[in-house]
Amino acid sequence: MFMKVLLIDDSEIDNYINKAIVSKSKLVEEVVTKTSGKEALDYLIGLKEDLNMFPDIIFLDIRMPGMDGYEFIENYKELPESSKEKCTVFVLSSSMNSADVARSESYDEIKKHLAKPLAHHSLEDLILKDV
Amino acid sequence: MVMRNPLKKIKLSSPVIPGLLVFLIILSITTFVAYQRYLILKSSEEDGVSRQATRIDREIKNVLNQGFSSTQSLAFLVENYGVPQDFSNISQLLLKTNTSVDALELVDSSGVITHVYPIEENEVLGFNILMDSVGKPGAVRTIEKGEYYIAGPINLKQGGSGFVCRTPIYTNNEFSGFAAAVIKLSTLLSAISLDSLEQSQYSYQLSKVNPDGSEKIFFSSQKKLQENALNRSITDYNGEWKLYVISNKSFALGGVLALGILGVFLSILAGFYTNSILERPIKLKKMVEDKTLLLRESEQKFKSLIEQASDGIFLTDFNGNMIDANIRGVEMFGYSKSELLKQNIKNLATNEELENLPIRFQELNLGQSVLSERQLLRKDKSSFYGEVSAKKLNDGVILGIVRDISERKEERKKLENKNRELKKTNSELDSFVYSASHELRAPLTSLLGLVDIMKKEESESEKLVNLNMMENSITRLDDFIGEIIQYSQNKHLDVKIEKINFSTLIDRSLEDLWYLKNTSGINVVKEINNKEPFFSDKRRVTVLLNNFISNAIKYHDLEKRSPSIWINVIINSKEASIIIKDNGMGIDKESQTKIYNMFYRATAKVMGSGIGLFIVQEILEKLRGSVSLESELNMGSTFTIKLPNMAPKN
Repeated sequence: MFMKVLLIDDSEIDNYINKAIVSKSKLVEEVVTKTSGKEALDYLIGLKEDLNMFPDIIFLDIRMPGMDGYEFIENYKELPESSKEKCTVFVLSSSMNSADVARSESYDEIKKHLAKPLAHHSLEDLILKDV
Repeated sequence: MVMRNPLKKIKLSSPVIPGLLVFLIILSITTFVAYQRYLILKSSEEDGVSRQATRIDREIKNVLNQGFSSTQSLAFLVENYGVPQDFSNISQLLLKTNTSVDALELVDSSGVITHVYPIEENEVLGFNILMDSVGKPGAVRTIEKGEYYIAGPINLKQGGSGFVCRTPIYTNNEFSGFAAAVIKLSTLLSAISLDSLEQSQYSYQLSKVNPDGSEKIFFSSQKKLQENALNRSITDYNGEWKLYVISNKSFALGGVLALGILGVFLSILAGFYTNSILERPIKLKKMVEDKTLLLRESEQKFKSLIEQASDGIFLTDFNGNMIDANIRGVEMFGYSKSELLKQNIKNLATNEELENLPIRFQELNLGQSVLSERQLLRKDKSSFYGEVSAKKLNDGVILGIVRDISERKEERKKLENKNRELKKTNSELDSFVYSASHELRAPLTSLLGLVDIMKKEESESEKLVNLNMMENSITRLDDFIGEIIQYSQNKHLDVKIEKINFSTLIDRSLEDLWYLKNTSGINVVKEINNKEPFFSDKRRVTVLLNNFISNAIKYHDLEKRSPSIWINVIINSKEASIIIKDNGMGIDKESQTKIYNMFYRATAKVMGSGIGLFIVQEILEKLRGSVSLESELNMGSTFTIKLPNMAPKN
């Protein structure tokens, strides 16, 4: 059980930090980072042919220039069910705004709304319980 | 107010004088009639008295003639035949024809009564009349006269009073005695029917006239006689006695008096009646005048109420033609009154207004009152807001009341603006708190993450990378807090005008940003055309320059061979044009309108909070400046900022 993880965050620093944390986990075999929703979506669409490469876990930031986290989800919905089947999406945001939390919970596609930093959450627990 | 004196008018045409005249005329007529009646009554009374007196006179003379004829006959007998033996028989015969004679006597020359018939009740035989004080004067007078003479009335020797008629007897031309006839007063009175007290119409009084002129009353049919009674006296030939015939009809005067009183009463009544008749139209006129005055006063009051009203009050017909307007109404539209009355209400509102909100004549005609708010037009074509209330008064006339609500409207507009501003501020604040909390938290969460990694990191080179990242996060946080402060200062600090030296400001800005510029090797070209001094708020202009220059540096295009920034400033007396051009990444068309929004970021390629250009916009608003952008993706951007020259006028 080796997980593929996709990190979507406009902050290069946060991507670097999160990648460092996720890479340390023995359950993770691959980490991909994207700095905008559009880039991430293009990447996922590009994986259509090769379902094995589709991420098992996506950490998604909300506030991003251009396509933000929720716009990404709206587009993600349109992806074929077969590819999304084994994928779990977590929102990872510095926003603790309750409106954002409620909005995240309203999407079936979003498993959980997590507050940054990722280091304050146990990646093992998340993978074992929610994935 | 019209002051008048109604009293004066009434006095001028007072009916008192005509009333008085009528009173006097009626009074004089009635008095004249009463007086005429009095005269007629009096003359008829006098006539009656005179007739009665004539009758009595005639009758007395008839009675006394019996004395004459009887004594004449007796005297003739004695003169021619001597004293008759059968005196009693002859006397009886004489008395039969002269029934009023009570007794006959013969008196000798010495004055002694020698014969009497009838003897009964006449016991005077042998009585010497010449020796008697009562009988003597009459006897002496007879002798003196030498002919028939009536003495009396006197108190008779045989009792009572009466007349003694004597005819002297001459024998051989020598006085030889008297033939005398006694006529008692009572006999005379009964002969002439004066003894009856029933004769109430007249009163009688018989008096003897004494030689000294005084009168002795012998008989009176009434005890007291009214002094001013109508009377007539009959005097005998010798003037020795008087008979008064007195009318008892003094009460007839009462009738005349009643007539007079009635006349006076009638006159007073007629006078007053005339007065009241003549007064009636005057009273009526006065009442009409009083009512008219009251009406005029109340009309005046209403007129002044309407004229002094603080709202414009108008009358128009159903074609919208002005009929009348009060003072305020005339002022309101800036026309003179005569000009306004020639206007149609359609000329008093804007055409646009009339199209949007036509005058609702139909509703007005149904008697409904119509309320509306309109933009109204003055003579000088300026406009004001009026609250118009209109209602049909009667057929063909509309009453309109217009209140100038421009101030209220202005206030409302101000309030609405304020409200809009507040709403904007509020939503800005909401959005700000939401975004700011994120922007404040994001670098901190990064720091936390980095610290966590650092703890486990052993490689020194990795640690250095981490530290650089930490520094970036701290700078980001610091920049953000700096921007917040700029925003807040722009909001609250007053605009402070001073002379601006663009060259210095741009150099300082580049110095502050050296760390950015240094890392990318950007070429900066600066050209300043400052023939005119430029005045503005230095602090705000500095923030503007910093924002545009740092953006131009941050968003440079690494792929370009020589990333460059051209800064061109042109100043004239009106404004400064600051053109900042770069050959950087450029901004896509979609983002170009959004870049001034708070926290908007067009790209993730460069870290930033998205608040910089928002602050630029806020500052330009404060300085009444503007910004325009020409940009093409991957080609570069040109921002043109215009700032008004706030040079002091002198």
